[in-house]
Amino acid sequence: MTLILGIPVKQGMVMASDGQVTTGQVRAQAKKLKKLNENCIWGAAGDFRLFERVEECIAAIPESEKGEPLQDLWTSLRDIVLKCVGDLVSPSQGSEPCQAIFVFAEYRDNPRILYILGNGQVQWQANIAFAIGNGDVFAHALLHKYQDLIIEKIDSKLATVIAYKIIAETAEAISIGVGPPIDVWQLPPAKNLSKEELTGLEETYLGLRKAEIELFLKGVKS
Amino acid sequence: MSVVIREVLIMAFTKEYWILLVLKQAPLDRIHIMKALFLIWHRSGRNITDYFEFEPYLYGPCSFEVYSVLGNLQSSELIVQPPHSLPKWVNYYLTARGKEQAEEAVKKSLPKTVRLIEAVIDEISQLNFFELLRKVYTEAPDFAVNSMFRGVIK
Repeated sequence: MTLILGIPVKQGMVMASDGQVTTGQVRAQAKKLKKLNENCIWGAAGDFRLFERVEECIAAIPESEKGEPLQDLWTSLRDIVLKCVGDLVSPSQGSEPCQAIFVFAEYRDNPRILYILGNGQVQWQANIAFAIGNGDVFAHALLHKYQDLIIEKIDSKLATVIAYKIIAETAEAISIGVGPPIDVWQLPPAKNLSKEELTGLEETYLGLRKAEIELFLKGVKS
Repeated sequence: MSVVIREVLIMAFTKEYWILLVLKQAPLDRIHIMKALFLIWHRSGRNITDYFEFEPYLYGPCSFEVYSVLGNLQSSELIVQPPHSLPKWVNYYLTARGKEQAEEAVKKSLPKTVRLIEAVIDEISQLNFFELLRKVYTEAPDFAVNSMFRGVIK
């Protein structure tokens, strides 16, 4: 299970995910966001086997082709998803098709978000913050108060704080499926925040939590 | 209290030593360690050779290298942090080996250096988050320019 969210900002996009993978009763950690090219990051919520298989297929796309805009690449990406879903279905055992949603977030001249479902259905979005996966309802609720600030008033740095805060708060709120370590990317160009930068975000998040409580208590006392 | 003893802090120290010296005075969490290291640098005339480089970050002065050095010290089992499931500020403690290394660091330090560190830790170790930021922002407003907390701590 997974939580992935994306926040379009002035001149870019921020994407973040939790880092917990659950297989049966076993919990492990994994990076769930991947770089497609300097302008695009992708991830998926759902069956992790499918995510890994799609990742292998995307890695096999020639570099020259991988750098193309999503508008030119989306059919290839959809076909990869459909093929991988088909590969994981075992007709002899009558297994169910894998459930998954893939999201590709791109910034070139504008933000562009492409969703591909496990059944091949495709949807496009722009300029809207999104959350997919386990806990997406919590994340959407937490994102909602920032919606009016997006895109004009939120820069990339602030968006990394919001993204980190929402994933951390969701992970604390729900009982299973979402957990650390939190991963954050900025683009363009695609940049995965370092462990130290993520620790800086964690410190900021802890401070904001304290500040919220402090403000609340000040309000109650006054 | 501002103690400027620039000349005694020029000696080359590893960054690990600075953190061990800080933690020798008191167990501290990451935010207190960060601000202590900053105040040591600031009060020594912002001139310490091979020291952490600070930038005005979202919560005031920050050197991301502090986090990696803390990680190194933990890997080397010179410091420990009790396990915690939820994200929160948790103190770092010197291990027995860490205490030995900290004693070594003291021997290599000039007394004035140790006194400066003691003074800083004495001042900040009991401060809460907002008191700590208020102190740092008052002393070094140029490092508060990007802080998200300026409005809250006024």
